[in-house]
Amino acid sequence: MDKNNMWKFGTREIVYSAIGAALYGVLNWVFNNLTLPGSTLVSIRPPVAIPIFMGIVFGPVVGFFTGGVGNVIGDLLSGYGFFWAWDVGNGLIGLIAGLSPIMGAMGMKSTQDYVKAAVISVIASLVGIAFPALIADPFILRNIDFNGGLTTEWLPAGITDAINGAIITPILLYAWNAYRGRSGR
Amino acid sequence: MLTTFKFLPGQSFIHRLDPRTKLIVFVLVMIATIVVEDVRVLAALFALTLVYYQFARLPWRATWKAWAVVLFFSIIIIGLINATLFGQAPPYVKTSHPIFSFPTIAIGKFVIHRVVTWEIVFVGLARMLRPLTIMAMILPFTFTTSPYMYGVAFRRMGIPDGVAFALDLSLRYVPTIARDFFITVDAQRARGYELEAKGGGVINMIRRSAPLIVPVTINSIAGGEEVVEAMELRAFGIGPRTWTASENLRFTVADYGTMVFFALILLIIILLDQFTSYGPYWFPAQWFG
Repeated sequence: MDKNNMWKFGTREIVYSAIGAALYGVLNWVFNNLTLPGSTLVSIRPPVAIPIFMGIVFGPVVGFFTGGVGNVIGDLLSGYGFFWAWDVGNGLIGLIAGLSPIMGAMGMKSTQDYVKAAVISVIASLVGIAFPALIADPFILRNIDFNGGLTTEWLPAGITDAINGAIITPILLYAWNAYRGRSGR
Repeated sequence: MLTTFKFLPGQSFIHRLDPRTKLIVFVLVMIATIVVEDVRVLAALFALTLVYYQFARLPWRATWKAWAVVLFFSIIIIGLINATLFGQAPPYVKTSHPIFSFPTIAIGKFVIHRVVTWEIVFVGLARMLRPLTIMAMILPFTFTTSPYMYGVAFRRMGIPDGVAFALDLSLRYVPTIARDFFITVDAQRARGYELEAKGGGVINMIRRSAPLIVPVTINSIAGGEEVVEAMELRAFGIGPRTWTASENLRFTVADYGTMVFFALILLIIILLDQFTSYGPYWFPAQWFG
């Protein structure tokens, strides 16, 4: 991702935003419905790596759209309704990951870059989830206290997303680099 | 597996409303829930939104899952955990009617003594009513509006062409990606992949999802290159896009009536909050002696 073209939203970005959102929505829906033995008490949310990956590769706008609209699609497929604050929070995860060039992570090709991607995933997850858990729910929607938002929303959701993102995002980036190397793109 | 949105076609009053009307009235009610703290007003608003919900004639078998999620969030997370552990009555409330207290915890000079009072319960009730009210307004939107109208509706609400088109395109990609995902699951199983394999801890469980997520993601992006090229060859983005379905969206008397009704409700709630005792936090001290 080029630092100068980070905020561009042309044809390429439109198509990848749409693909990212559909991917995130479908995978969220699938992983919400999959019952993995032994995981009944642990939330497994590997799809959170999709907005992070799309953000790092295609920029913050694509990352934001992927996270925000993808979360809406996942909820629509599951029949859960609409939780705008969490949709914005998921969008922010992708947007923050898309700011990786500003954080000094460009190229994403070496082992060191994959470690950087894991760190960016953790930062993006914790900051993104802070919006619904620590800002929207306690101060805008006022359905929870700040302390409650911190302990019952931010910590469980943020840490789960951070672990999932830190594991899956480098794997996705590795596969993406391999594909680009083979296809010449 | 067939992947469809939970859209339920029908001819109810809510089905016939313009999608923009449903979004606007949802926003109006959401603002109304934020304005007040009074359980009485929030309960009345919730009752009103249930009437709106009834107009959509949604079958219980389609919506129970959404209600289960919001009821769990409202009752367990907000009502039981949040209100009892962290809830505080507003500082200007001078009464205190205890229900029970947690055992005192003392760590050196640091002492925690938590008493749950009826005053806190009324704070919790107000907080529980907000997500329930919002859910009663949004479910009729998601279940009575075809997802394929979202892009058009947002475009007509002034959102730029590119964003509206991306929204439209993402919904159209859903069946394709879902199909690709289940083909990948079958292909990986044929190679001996065990999705349901036990053990290995949380990290391994997450890592085991990679053989499903990676091929679907990379294949979808690879296919996207062709779509980008096809769109650019057709000069996409050079001029404004023509939205053929846009002609189907027209406000009717019912739309104007619904929007005016909910705008009036919001106005009344703001006036009640500003000029009467209906609106700020309310606690019926007389009920508890």
